[in-house]
Amino acid sequence: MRRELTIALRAPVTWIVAALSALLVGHGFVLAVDLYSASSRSALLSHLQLREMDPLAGLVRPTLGGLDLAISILVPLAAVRALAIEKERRTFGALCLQVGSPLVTIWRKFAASLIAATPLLACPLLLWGAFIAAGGKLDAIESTIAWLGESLHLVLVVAIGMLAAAWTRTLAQAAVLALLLSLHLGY
Amino acid sequence: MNEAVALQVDSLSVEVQARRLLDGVSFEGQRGEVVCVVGPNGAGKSTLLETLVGLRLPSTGVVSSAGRPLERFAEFSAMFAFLPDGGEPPPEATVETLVAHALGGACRSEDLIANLARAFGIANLLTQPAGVLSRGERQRVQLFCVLAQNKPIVVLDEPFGAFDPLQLQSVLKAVGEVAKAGATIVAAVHQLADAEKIADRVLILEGGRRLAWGSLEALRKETGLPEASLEQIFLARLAGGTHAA
Repeated sequence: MRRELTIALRAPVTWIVAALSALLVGHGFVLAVDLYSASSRSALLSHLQLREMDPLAGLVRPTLGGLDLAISILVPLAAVRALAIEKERRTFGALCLQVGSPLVTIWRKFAASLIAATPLLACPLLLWGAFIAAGGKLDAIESTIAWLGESLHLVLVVAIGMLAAAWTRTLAQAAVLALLLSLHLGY
Repeated sequence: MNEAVALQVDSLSVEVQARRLLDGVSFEGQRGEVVCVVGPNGAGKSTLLETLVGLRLPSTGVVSSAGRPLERFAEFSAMFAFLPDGGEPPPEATVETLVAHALGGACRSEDLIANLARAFGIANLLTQPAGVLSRGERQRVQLFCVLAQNKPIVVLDEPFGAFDPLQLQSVLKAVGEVAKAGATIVAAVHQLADAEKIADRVLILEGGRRLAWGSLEALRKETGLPEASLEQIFLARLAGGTHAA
């Protein structure tokens, strides 16, 4: 497992994906806060508008929208790498022999890819934490459920990446197939 | 069944899309023996080795070890360590990680590991990622990782091509030491002079078929060239083209 984690965590693509994802999530969050706070000010004048101000729709979902986009478009490119690079460089068979089972080898690669992708999930949590610390209010349960939904989406896309890498011969083929499957599934 | 026979290959054939890549190849390897597989490009050397270690399914034929036919992947895995031709570890994996992974399972005696590490100059490379190593250094690391695993049979596909003559000397010696420790080494080798230095027996393939098989002495006798080098025998057999089934 250490070998797989080293490969996944030291790959530049892992951190490029995390950085771009942070930009998307941060951008969504800042726009949402801006819009939500402006709406909140005018909502003070209208009882009906005040009742309709929902942090889940106004803040949580727009923030997770950036994450959703990052998971659908960027994560497939990183998720295929762990397996595809071994196949492309012709070391996968020897690695399976060394480990003793192709299934165990693929499982380890899946777990390592998933761990390498988890920093993406931390970004909205940090932003929401900052929002609450600054005096904002979010419903913990509904925000957590929405966040867990994106976590499951991440697991699914990493699994798609592994599948695409298993079906193809090269890293480029695997990345294209994973991206197409992910987009087909998500949009 | 002879106890010394660690590897028995019987009538191995591989067919891919109606093309016969291997055609009824048989040979054996004893404990402590180095078997070199030689042949022209496209002879089926890599196909033979991949089938041998269970990474390809044969159309017909059986690979047995210590008298038992190998069928499940776990059985192949327990018997074989494999160095593929042209295999390169992922560039971001450090040598230390690769070595730790190789030594993580059952590995050979501490003395032998220390000798191998010295012969391959592993200590100087430990902190380096595989991506910055030269081809020769990468091959040294991979060869070390394969030889260090305590598997009864070590299968090497073109292991010596990346080395300069000085390195080659110590690498051949290290491979010989692993064989002396009881492992069976099966290596596909392009450079016939290298094969001649290390082989106890030689399998010559051509067009997926066994052209000749035996010790250098036996091949010299068969070919009628008592003083010949392996290269001369190889060329004579290729010119003759008689397949030994």
